[in-house]
Amino acid sequence: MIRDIFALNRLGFYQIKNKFRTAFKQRPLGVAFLLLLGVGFYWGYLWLSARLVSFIYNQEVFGVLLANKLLEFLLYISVGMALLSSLTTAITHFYMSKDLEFHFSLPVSFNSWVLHRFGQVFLQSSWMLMLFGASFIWLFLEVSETNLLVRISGVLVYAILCSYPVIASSLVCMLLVKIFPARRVHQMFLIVTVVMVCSVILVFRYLEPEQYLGPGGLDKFRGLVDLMENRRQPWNPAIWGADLFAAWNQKEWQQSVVPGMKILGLFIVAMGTMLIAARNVYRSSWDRALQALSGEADLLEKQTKLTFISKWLSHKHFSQEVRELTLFLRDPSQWSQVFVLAALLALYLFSVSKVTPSLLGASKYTMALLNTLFVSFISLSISSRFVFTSFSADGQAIWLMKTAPEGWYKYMRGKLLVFGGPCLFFSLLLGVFSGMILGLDGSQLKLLAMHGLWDASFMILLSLSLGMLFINPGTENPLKLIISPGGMLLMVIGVFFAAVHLVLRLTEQHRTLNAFLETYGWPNMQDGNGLYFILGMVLAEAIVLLVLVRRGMDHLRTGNFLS
Amino acid sequence: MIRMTGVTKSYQNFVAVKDMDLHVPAGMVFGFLGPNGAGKTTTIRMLTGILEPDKGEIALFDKPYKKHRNEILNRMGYIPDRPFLYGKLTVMELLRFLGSLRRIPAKVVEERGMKLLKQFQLGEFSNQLVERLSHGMRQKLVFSAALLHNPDLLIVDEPMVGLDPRAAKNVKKLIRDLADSGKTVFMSTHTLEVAAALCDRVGIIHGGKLVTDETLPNLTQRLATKDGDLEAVFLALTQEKHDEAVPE
Repeated sequence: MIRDIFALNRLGFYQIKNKFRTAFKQRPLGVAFLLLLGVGFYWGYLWLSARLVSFIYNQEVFGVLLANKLLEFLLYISVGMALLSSLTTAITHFYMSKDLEFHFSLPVSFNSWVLHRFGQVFLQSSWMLMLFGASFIWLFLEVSETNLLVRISGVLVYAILCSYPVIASSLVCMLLVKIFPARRVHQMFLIVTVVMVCSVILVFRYLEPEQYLGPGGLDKFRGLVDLMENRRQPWNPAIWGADLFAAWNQKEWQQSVVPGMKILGLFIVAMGTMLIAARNVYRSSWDRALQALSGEADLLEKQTKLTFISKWLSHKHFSQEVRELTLFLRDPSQWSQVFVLAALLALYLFSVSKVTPSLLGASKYTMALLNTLFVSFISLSISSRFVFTSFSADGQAIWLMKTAPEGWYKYMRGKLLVFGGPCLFFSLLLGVFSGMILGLDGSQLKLLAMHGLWDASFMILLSLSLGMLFINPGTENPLKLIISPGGMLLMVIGVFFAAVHLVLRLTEQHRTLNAFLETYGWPNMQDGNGLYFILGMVLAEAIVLLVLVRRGMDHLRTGNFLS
Repeated sequence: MIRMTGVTKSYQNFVAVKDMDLHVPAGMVFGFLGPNGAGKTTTIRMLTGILEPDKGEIALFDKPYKKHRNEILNRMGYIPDRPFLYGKLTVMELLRFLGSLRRIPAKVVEERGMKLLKQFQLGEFSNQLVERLSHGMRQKLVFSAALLHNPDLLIVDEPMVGLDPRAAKNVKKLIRDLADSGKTVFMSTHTLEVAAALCDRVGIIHGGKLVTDETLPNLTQRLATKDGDLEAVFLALTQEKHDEAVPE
């Protein structure tokens, strides 16, 4: 069995190795830069976490208690996050993965295959937790000077804790697919996950974590800790984990035996249950997986939905827009993101309502201008999600556009109107509503809207052009492109220009930044030259965008990305 | 009808098509053959406007591609070897959308589209999402879409892949009928029997170069093979040095 699992895992290993090797051959500098960036970021995280853990742990009187509570928080969050991310990953890997047909034909034992697939689901859904959460556990055990074996055991226990939700998700999806078609379960999980994420974010925000940072925050935090202590759930594995780590931290080894046994016992029972369920439920529904793959399974009753829109597909002017809209509304992985946007809007406006400009020594208008930076970031992230990925989302079907007797203009217009338009509207809404909450007058709001228009237009057009330049029609999940070299470049350029816009704005308003600029000997822009500078900036940006859009269109035209 | 002059296309360091000259007159079925990786699909992609050549010129209907792209594409139908389509559109919606790109009136699309779908045994699936169709059914749908605007030139990459025997027979007849009615079919295939049965002329590409372009009787006669034995011709023209070392 172990040999089979190793053999199966080797397939994945070779794929990753070859992918990395090809990428390194094609873009050695880009890959090296990304690697360095990743290592630097992780090192920074470790450094910061180490300082934080050490600071908390060394607090007098309640330092250890506070550290234990933070650990409890971390375990709660880890288990919750693993559950959220494993739901859709489990259904995808067990029922909708393209390599299933090949795997089903391999001469490996069934249990090995299930364990291998479970391992994949675990890695896919929890790799970030293992990278960031496990290192926190390590640091937590290191600060109390435990030995290496204990720290390694700590990471293993953390992995076991994160595996519970993955096992639960795998089990639930096997049972549900026995009843419903796999595609429908996938769509259901997708929507449930998005709604749950939104709810968690909103609940977390409405708890107002900033109240624990201000004066009297420590007492409030103690109150929260007491509340948690009173509501401890003895059956919760996160609590067992917290108890175990607290005992190891204090080197009270005997105290750790019971929670340790509970954690290990539950893991063995859960794994056993999953293997039994897989043998009895999953095995008899393999055909469901193959049906889901071929797309012949289900949902006949949905076929007439949206016909009121799709009728316009034959419209001679707006067929591209109608196509984009129809495809968007029929794909739950796309339209469910609207929930996230709505949650983001509520969250953002709630946060703005908590800002008190006088405390920061700035006027309302300066605060609103500072706010444009954050709105720019949001605008950048939304347009990277919807506009940047929209070209790759067309996938290999893009040959239909390339062989159509129509210019790229209408194709791009479709992308801009259906994805760029709402992004622009959303960004303006955020900026202007924030201004209204801050109590700006009419003329200030107009000015703010103009700033918002400038920022969002730039981000959208930048996403559009880089989306064309870095199009990857072969990708299975266009969302992943956000962390590709093209996505990273978009972020870097977008953040740079968002910052430049803010600098210009504050300079224009003769605010705090001028002092900074004067101190460091930058040219004084307090007089009319500032205006020329801004106009020059707009021109420069327009040229940058024009060049990028033209290059993007050339890239689409030559079609080399299809080779 | 089709004229390629000194066309070259490379992918990074790999030259897929090398200095190709090709002329296909109107009203015939032209078979485009070659081993795997010979440059067939690249050539077809350049003919259909998906790829742009690095060097050389392509003219269709006696008009250069660069200046008359839309006009050329409006008179051409293309059937790729792998029918990637928008999975979230229904069969009829896809035809409507493609009809709108070619400025075909909606009513004509409905009538002609349904007729073609019925011809390819897809009539009852007109309201199904494309993602639910099997490979063969998608291939039939692509055929319907390519014929929707009644093109003068049909470019087909591996026409029989995924088709059931009935559909394959229909396609063969359709291709022959199109050529007999004065239209042109440019067809790439690995199925030599199909090429031998349908093609008026055959071009063989090997290592990115066109090694021959003539009628089948001329070809077999020149290479002194048995009458109609396209396989022997193909193997003779595309023989690699290492072929001899491969055991039977």
